Amino acid sequence: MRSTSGFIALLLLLSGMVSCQKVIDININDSNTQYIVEGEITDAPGPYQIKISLSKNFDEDNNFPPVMDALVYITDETTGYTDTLSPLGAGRYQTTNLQGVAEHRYKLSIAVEDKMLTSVATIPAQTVMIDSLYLRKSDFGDETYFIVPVYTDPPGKGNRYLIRQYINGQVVKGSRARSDEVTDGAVSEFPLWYNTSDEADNPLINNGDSVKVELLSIPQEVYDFYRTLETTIDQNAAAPANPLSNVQGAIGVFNAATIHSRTIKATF
Amino acid sequence: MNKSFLFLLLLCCTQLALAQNKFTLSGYIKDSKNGETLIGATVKAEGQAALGTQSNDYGFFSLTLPSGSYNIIVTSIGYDEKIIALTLNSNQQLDIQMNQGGSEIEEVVIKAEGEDRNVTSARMGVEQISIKEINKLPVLFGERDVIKALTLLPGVKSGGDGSSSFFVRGGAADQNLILLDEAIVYNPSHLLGFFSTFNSDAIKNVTLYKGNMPAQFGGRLSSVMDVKMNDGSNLDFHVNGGIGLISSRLSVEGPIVKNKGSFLISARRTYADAFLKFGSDSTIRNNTLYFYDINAKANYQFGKKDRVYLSGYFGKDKLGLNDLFGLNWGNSTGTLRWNHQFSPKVFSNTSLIYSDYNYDISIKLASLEGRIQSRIRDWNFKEEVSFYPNAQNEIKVGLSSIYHTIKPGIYSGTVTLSNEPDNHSWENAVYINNTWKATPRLNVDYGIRVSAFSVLGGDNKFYTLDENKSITDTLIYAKGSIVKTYIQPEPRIAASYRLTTSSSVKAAYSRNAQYLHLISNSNTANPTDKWIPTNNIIKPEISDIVSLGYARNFNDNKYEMSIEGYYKLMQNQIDYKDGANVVSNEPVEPQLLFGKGRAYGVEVLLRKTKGRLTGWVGYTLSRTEKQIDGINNNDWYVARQDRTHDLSIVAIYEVSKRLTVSGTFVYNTGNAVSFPSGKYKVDDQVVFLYTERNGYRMPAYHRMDLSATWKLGNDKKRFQSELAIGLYNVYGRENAYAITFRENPEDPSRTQALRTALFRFVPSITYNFKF
Repeated sequence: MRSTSGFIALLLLLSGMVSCQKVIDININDSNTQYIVEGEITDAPGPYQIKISLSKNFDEDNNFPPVMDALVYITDETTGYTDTLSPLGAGRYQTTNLQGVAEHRYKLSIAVEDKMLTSVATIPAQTVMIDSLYLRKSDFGDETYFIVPVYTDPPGKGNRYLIRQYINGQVVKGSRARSDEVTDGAVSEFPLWYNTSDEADNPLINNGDSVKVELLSIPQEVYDFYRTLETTIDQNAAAPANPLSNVQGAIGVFNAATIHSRTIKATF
Repeated sequence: MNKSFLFLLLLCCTQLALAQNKFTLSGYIKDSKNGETLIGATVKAEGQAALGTQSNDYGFFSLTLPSGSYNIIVTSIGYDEKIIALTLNSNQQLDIQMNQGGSEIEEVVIKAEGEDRNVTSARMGVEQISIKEINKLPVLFGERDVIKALTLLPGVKSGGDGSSSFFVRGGAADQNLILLDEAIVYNPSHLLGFFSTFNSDAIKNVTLYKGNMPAQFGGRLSSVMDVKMNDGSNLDFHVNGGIGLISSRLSVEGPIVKNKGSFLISARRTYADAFLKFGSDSTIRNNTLYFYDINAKANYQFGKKDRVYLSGYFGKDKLGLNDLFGLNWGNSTGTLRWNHQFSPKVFSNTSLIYSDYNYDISIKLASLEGRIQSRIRDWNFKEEVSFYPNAQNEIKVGLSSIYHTIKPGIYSGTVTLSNEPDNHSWENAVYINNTWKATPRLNVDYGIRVSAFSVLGGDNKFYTLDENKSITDTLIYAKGSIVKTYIQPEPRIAASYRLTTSSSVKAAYSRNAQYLHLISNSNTANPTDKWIPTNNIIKPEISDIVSLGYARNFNDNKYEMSIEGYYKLMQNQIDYKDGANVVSNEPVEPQLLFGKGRAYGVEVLLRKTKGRLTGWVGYTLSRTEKQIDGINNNDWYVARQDRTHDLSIVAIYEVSKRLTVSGTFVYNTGNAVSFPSGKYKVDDQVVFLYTERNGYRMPAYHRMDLSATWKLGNDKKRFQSELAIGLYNVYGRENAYAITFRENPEDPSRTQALRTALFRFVPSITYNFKF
């Protein structure tokens, strides 16, 4: 169970009476630039996109330079077909003909300046459907509403999920990685809480909004990436580290997934 | 059995044979007021510097002298010296009653030879703080705290604000053996570390061995914190208690049969959550947050030679976030002991010890409703026989056998997880130790402990890993069968050589082995941190520590000074792979990395023990490093608890008979920490880029605390009370509890560092009474 964040919340609550926070200056070293890769292929109709950017030093601004001149290929290793992706600008590359198929294994190859970045991922066999969606008032006593997707985990451990939510087409920051290790075969009915504070800059759910949830069945390595990404973002691990990348030579993820989505109109 | 062990046994026997034409003076040393036995009191024959001994953990002493007339001098910290004139021409049993020393202000002139123990004892790296002293120190929320007091000594580093962890000579927090009446306390913290589990009202004595522990202790690499509970007065009934801002305490003690037996019950409860009720926010109002603990002890003397003790501790913490989330945890321990005197020269103690730590998480969120319980439970049998063959030797022989049961996870509710199988192991040890006064100048304390750890089979799985730490094979062994046994001889030796009457040099070497390891996923100590036993993959941790020291007393033992240097090498140290998720139910072994550690440093302690002003200055210069394949390019890197400088100043001043003021100041280099060195964007979020483990430092920590204790009412009356007021963090230093990084809320195109500090100017007031 990921209960650590719960304790930290409690600890902060306890110390809330006596703690104080202040922005401070810290002398941070420079870092070597890293390639950042994000890509996804699903069993839904293409095209699919790969995004490549670079990391920056801590004290620089948050405009991360896109990598424009890469050569990007995706090979369906099951059929042997290779798709050459065409650049869309802003570090984005798009497939031309490729169609994702469950249980096929895909290889991503990216040639940048002096380096090859590679990754392989297999789309899982199963598509898990979202049975229904509904809205639920916050359990913490405030008037915020959250989406609850209901889905049934197929029996047998090993299912890994990624959940994304959209409010009026705008994505809510932070994908949710889930595993069935503690809820194997059970109906999942868990609210998609997200950061509603001003700083997070996420949309809030109002009556009448269109809310959409995507449920992706993902491979273990992709789950590991999103799980450790969450830990990295939380900043409370014993040994803070970068997320476990499944792209060789870069930090990032090449996701191969089956996908199911459902949209409803928010009424409460 | 080990060869060197036999050799030692032989060596001790030859020394036994030398005793002849001598008689033994033996008995107990007690407090005249309440009959509490005194630990570590010195008994000496006048003028015969080498002919002395110390009372043991049960107040028993045995001193063998040539027949003749003697002035026996008995001294104990905080008590008036006692001189007994006697003629020894047969074995004699003598119980010695000691009077509690008057207030320092009365300038009691004591010329005890026992006061120079700092110089004479062979032991190195041993720290003792009297409970009296602890009770005078300023503390957070007025809650007296044994662990916090120990961290004011050189070589002992505090885990910082909101932590009961401590680090001894570069060791990790789980490398401290914390004993309460011999029972292991697995989690010494209350309220997530804000307070320690030890209620000072119930404690008689605290000793901390910083690495060079005697052979009777084992199982942890870095230190032994040996806490002994009070026995309770066997003369008359007393009640004492305290009412504080966030907690209250009450203790009752008295005789079961006068002079034969006594009992003590001491309890505490915090009511910090009472403040939450005043909160405007209903979500905060409905939270639970408190702890309570109970210490109880009883003892009874059967005849002249036998005494039985039963003691126990029970503590519970309860945290609750509305009805959504609950976390309870607690330790319970029980110790049954039997002291038996076989002869005036042979003292035996047999102990049966129970120790348990468990936590319980409950969650009731939307569709998820469940409970997770986890526990570690020990049954421990110990036998120790002390021989006092002559005034030069004191031999301890013993054995210890612990059966550990770990239940990693018991699940109930809507979670569909089957319970994690129990894990069993058996930890055994035999030891022999001799405290030898070789010459009037040379004292040697030497011994060996041979420990054996057997990993037992059951439903739990054993894995085989390949080079990439992937599981290649999973094995299950029959219940109760021995999967693997690790045997480790742990030699220990400490010696002191007296240069002059007031100075000495010391040297010591010890090897220690540790078979249980604490696995933690978070940068703060959590009640849910896991204890995992050594198995086929996780090897026993082993340390070798060498210390060298110089001790000198000045000005008629008014001032003590000691300098100690140490170098410690540690094998089979554990760290985590990047992205390790050790709180999950997945096998933990593939997520661990193993390597070595080294720690070295110099500790200086200057102490003033007499007069109106007492206290000390302690300073440590040290370094702690690890080398683990898979971290920081396999190079040596500083451990988290590495602190270059660590300074503490403690002063207690008796202004008048009624008023005592005290102050502490601490300064230390910040912990080593992993900060990000860059950033990138992924999943629509700015994420920080880490380049190395522990490459940065937290800001330096410093703080000053003050307190004052005012005695109320009439000294002569039975009812006595005092008022203690304190101010924690007097100058409101914002010490960093955590530093986190985020997007700048005013300018999202920028990032910034945010420092969280706890506790600025925390005042406290406590009313204590006794009758």
